[in-house]
Amino acid sequence: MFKFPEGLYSDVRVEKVRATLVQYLKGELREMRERDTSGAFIRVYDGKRWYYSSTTSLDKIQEEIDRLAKLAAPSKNIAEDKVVAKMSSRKGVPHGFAGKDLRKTSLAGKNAFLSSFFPAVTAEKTITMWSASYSDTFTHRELYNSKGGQSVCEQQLCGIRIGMTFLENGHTFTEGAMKAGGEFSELGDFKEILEKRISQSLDFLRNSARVAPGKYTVVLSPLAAGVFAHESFGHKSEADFMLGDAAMMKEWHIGRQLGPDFLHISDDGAQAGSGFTPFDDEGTPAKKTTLIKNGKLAGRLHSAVTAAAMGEEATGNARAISFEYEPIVRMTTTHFEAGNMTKDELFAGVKDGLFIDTIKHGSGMSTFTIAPSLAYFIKDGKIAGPAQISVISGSVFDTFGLIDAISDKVELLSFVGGGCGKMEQHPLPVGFGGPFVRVRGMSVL
Amino acid sequence: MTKETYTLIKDEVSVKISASVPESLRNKRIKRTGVRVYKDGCLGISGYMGEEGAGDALKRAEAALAYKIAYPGQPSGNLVRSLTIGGKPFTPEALDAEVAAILSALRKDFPQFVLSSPSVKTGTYTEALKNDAGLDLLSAITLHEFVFLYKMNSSSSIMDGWFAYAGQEYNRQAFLAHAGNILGAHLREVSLPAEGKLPVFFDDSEFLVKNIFARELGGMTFGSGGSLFSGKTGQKLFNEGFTLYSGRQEEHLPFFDAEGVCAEGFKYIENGVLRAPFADKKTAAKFNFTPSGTADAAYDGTPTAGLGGMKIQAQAKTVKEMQGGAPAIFVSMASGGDFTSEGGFGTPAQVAFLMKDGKLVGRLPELQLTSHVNEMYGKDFLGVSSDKIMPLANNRWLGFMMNVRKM
Repeated sequence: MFKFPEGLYSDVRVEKVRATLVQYLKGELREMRERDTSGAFIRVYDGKRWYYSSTTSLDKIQEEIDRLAKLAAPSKNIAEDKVVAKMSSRKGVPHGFAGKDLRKTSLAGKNAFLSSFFPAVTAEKTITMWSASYSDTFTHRELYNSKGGQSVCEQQLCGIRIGMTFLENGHTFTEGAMKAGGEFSELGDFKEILEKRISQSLDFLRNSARVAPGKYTVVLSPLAAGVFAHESFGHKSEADFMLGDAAMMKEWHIGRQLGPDFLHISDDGAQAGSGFTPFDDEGTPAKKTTLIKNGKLAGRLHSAVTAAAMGEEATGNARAISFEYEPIVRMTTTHFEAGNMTKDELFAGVKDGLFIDTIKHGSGMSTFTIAPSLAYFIKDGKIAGPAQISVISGSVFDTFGLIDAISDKVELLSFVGGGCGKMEQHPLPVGFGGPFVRVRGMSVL
Repeated sequence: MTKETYTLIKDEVSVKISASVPESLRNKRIKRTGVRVYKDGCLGISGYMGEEGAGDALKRAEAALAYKIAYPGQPSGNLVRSLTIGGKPFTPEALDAEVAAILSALRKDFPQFVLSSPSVKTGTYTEALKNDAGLDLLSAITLHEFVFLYKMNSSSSIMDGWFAYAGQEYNRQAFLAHAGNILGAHLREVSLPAEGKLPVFFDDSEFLVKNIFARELGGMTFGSGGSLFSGKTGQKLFNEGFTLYSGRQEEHLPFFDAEGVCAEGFKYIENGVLRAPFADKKTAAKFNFTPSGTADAAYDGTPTAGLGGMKIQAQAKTVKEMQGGAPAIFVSMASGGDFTSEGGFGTPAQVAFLMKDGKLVGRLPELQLTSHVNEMYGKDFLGVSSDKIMPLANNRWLGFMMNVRKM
């Protein structure tokens, strides 16, 4: 298909996307569009440096390969390069999308589906401002490399988001409801989700009380636990952050005890949902990577480049947000595994604490933060009214050691309309979730 | 029917750095064109990428009129203006050599650090908006954006801090001097003089401390009564020295917005008095606001009010004069904080420096900062300095008195 230059490793990723967006602002239609885009990302590697190009001219890919090749220094031994050795040479079986193809559903049908949820919002008079959107994306990716490797995969994601601002007696509160999945049918219970969220928000608006800053036992919902796993730990499992960094390698050595023995965290690109990545953007097939097992550091996330540098195996985590960017090490669906007790037992062990149900945002470096939205006091094991919290934070290492209970059922969540940001690449669809997680002595502001 | 095209061209070269050496060189040329048609108070839009597809996109845009996306008022017209800012971007070879020279100098002077960068980039970013109502606007901005992340060799963190520059003029010595100020200060650990209310400075482009205005001054929220500031137009809510305005060109944005509105200097808050929210034409028409000239749009999307280029008016004092000889704090990295729905503010400051007489003295421990929007921009507002953080860029020092304590 392409003539790859001698003495160099090269690959070409062709991406064709159909994206739909229907968007309303306070009941007024603002966007209704179907967008078809196509483009290619070309990489050439000479054993020392990478040369990249992104283009929307699919008929000029060969020209771009040849142009990049002129910048590079060919090597007779390129095939023996340890990075090149990690690149796939297999012709994978095309991974087509087997479900109901939303490209065949009319825009009017999608608009009607979204609009069917509006009465629940307009009926609530305290909602002074709201937005609603339906979006879906069908992505077809092809990857060809100079080792003969090929992969073709298709995936689809759709979802609904409704954001609402509640106002009563001079107090405001902003919350939202969202549901995402691979097919329309997975959004079927959105009405119940929306109605519950409106009810919770009204309770919060009317009855929430400010939490006094301090240390609390905190129970994280599957959503909050997922954000915690993603922000506090997942990013530090991305091996590109460790390249050439002896201190970080030492700190993050495999086998290091991080938490209790019932603590397990995984990343799994084969999970359906917004993190689904059957082949990554280097052609490596998805796999489940155990990051923490029995409380000990057990693995990390790799591209072919980082795997080669660290003498480990590629894990299918080389991902790019679009054809405009090179693949870098990213998470897929990251989550706590099931733990050591039931949800009821977990709550029953809290005399005076807090429950974080939904969040506004989270961030993670040496100190992670989560800004809760809907949060609640826990008294004697029971939910005891809504609580206003600015932010919870802590150091990653310390906080894992403070986990003392994890519930026994895992809930994985998908998202639309946002995603993970790393460096210049945002947003990348990811999934996360988990069971309920209890942490002692967490710093709350 | 009025037909309009909105063209965005990104022509960019970037170098990625890993473990203090260049890892890759990337070229990007992406052209996107939106085609809009206005008819009977409605807007139809479609678009295409690359050079081909204008005819089909026009047909799709005309068909999209059937969706009845309301667009009250008229598209902009009768204005022809073209503005080119900046010289030529670096060639790939020149950028590669410049990055190598910077890294060589920093490795020599600061061997204690590992440097990385998602992209040191240079490019020309062109936007054009044309229609058959006589609108023909073109902006071509050449911009260099050098972002460097650093960490100590001994650190187990992903990053310990950063330094950056964005601007049209570039000078290696000035950039290295700025990097040296940050890296040198990072090496000198100092303690917080005292907990309590202290002068705290940010880069004035720091969104974290301004995001409440992005949230509460959105025209739809403001006009619907759901904003903290709804119904308070004309009231003096903040410090006399606080003026919040649209400074698109200082922020390297085109002189026109996605609707062709040119409103450089549009004031949201003037000398502490609330003047207006930000609004696109549609929102402005709905609530009788003035369009703020800050509408954003995807190339094939409906223009929607944004907050591009939200700036705070600089004052006459330098940062040294603002400090008045007292120790102050410069927050270089604060991630994860926010304003509550009632206006309370709290954030960790992961990287902060002690300042004296406008100079960075040394690195402070991680801090916790708290305040409230009414205090930050009221009695505790110190203002924006007349002098820049580094001479090549537009960023200045933005100060508040804030409650500070160690994490």
